[in-house]
Amino acid sequence: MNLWSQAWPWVARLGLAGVLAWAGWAKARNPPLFALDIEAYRLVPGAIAVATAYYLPFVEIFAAVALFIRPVRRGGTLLALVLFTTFTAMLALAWARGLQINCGCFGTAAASSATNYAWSIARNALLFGLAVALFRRDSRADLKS
Amino acid sequence: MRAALCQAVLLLVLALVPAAIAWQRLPPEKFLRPTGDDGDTADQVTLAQVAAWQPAPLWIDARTAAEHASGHVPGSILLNEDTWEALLPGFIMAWTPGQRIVVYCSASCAASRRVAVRLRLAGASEVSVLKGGWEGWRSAHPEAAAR
Amino acid sequence: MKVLLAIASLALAPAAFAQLQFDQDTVEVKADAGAGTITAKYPFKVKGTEKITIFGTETDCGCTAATLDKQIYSAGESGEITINFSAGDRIGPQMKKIRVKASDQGEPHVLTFKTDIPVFARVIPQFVAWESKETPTPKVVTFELPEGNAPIASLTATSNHPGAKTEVRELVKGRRYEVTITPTTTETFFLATVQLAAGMPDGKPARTLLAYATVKPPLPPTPQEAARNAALGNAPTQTQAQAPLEKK
Repeated sequence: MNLWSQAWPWVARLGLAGVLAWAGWAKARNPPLFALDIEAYRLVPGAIAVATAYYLPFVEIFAAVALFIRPVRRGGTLLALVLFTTFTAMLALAWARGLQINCGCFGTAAASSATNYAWSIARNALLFGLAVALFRRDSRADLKS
Repeated sequence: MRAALCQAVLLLVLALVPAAIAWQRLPPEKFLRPTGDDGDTADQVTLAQVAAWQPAPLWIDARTAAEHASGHVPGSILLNEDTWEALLPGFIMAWTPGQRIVVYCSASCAASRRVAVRLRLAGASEVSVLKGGWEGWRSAHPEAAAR
Repeated sequence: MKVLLAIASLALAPAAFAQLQFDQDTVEVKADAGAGTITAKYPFKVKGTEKITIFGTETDCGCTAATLDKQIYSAGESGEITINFSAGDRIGPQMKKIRVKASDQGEPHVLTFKTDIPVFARVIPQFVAWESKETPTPKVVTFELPEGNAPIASLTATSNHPGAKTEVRELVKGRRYEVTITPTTTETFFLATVQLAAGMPDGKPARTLLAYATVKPPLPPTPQEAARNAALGNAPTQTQAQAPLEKK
């Protein structure tokens, strides 16, 4: 059991970082196309969508890397929490408004067809739970040391 | 918690650097804005805004003829870029000078913007684009969409 | 439990390694004015050691269609995706995306098609309108060739309805014209088509663009206006507003 308690934070870290880095990298490859995905949500004006398209992928990548760097790992987890919350809210809004769009979750107009909202939100909820657990564990560990 | 916040802010600031580099290397193209000169979302209107208009506006369906045939806003006129010249007389017949115009297409389509710009060039004023598009209208009018 | 969750989230991240490699993701095609269908080709090669299956393609516009020779390609094989873009009456810069879903990665490959469809001439505005009973003032339509197009020899305007008279004035030789349209009366409703025929130099066939002129009933008054009119003792002209539009 001790082994489990030692190992799970690392598995969680790898999982979160993997998803974040993959999503960030996929989006960073072509920000102009990602901007189209953001625009499709019809939540922000074009200029903000474009700026976000360039910035957001790198926030995801930096958060992913930070998870493995002790002095900033809680910051990284916190960012991941904020990101997942925002994404879920945007998805829920788009769902409620009946938009048939690609979520853009994993890069340049990634999904070949309209996003399955329920599945995407479930995935985000799972990642959110993981991040919360990791944040609490790291907070305890960092305070002890 | 405060330490974690500071760390997060530090990461956010650091992420600005590669973002700026990416902007330099791959600047946003003018293609990104389908029409360029329509002032972002300034011409967008919501269903609630349109509902308050007196007299009622003329609805323009910017989707394809097939999509229009399978369901549209009652009274809407089909006008798209596939067959602009053939459809324009139908629009002129239906429109009254001074009447406001609302263009819609599917929620994730840029065609309504382009049609709005072309309508303005063609001579119509007061042309707006519907936020949320056909899907938005349909979810607000379930009874009409079922027909 | 948390370990399970972690493993589940890991499983969501397959290796992003593209075996299907396109020579070019973006193809820009130079278009001629009036080109009906524009074709672009996206050649690709299968890198790596495994065969791949292309499940399908999807475009973001009904005007673009993608075709494939076959679906399964073995390692090292080359192939090609062909895009047919039906320009229809589109003008100006166009960008269309094509998503290619293949077995090599979860995320589709995104191809971009770009073109800029030139216009022969711009007619602005394309229609002019008068309210019925409005003073029949002349209204002007400009006909202009964009920069770079060779000048035309002449421009004639012909109305198909006796209610609309036309007059052409040359502003810049062979490039810019003013077409003045005047209704003979605004007592009756009509929709007139004005043919703008550009005579081409060197005896090439003339090219025709259309403009429209219409006399229409005015908008019904808003409730506020109706109330004001009633207060002033002016009866609203409802009967007239409902008269049918004569189409010619």
